[in-house]
Amino acid sequence: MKLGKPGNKPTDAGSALPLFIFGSVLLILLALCLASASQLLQQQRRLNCMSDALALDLAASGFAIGEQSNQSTLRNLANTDARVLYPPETKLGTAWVSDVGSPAANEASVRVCQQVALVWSAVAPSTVCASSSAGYR
Amino acid sequence: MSARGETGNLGVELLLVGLVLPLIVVQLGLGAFAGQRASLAAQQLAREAVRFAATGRYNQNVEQLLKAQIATELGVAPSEVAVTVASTAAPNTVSANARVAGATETAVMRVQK
Repeated sequence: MKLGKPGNKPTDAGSALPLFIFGSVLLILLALCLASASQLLQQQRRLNCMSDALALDLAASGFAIGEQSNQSTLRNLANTDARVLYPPETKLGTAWVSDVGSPAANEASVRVCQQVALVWSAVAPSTVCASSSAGYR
Repeated sequence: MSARGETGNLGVELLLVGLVLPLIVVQLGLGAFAGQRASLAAQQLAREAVRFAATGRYNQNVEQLLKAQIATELGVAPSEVAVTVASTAAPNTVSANARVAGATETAVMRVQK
């Protein structure tokens, strides 16, 4: 197909470079998005492991979980346990307990969060969280 | 801009920017994903091993089964999968250190009574 301005000699001469550059940039952005999503998933799996361990510990700690328990005692217990299991020098050392509760007697639920360094973290910091519940029988 | 500004050599552009650059990006992306896949597998292995250890059911048979499962799922040689379970400095805690195709992950749990 011949293209050109009316009145000029029809021609298809031009550069496809802008199109290729646009395609390449799009591909790079897509790859970065996928890599970031994968990194978030990976971090969530790590945090899940941590929240599982903390919830099991709280449920099995012998602490009077249930009506007598109060939020701050549970939170202190979870924070202490988190630092014992995952000292600051480990990958999960900067994770914090964002929520802790006791939905029923001998049951505990823990939610832990951590900031993740992604490509665009300088613009918008990303926080990943994971929750677990455990029961003690 | 010169009068020839929009005139390009399509062959060169197609080869370099249209084919070679996307291929390099895809190649780098696949490499990164392979690393993350190994890391996820290492996490899974460490998590399962530490759960067995925390409940006192970890032994050689369990270790071999876990390693074989991961090696089969990832299609890697069994020699590329390793897991070590040990007590930590903290009282009543065990940790599992798993290595899969170069990626290393650690999971820690308190011993369940």
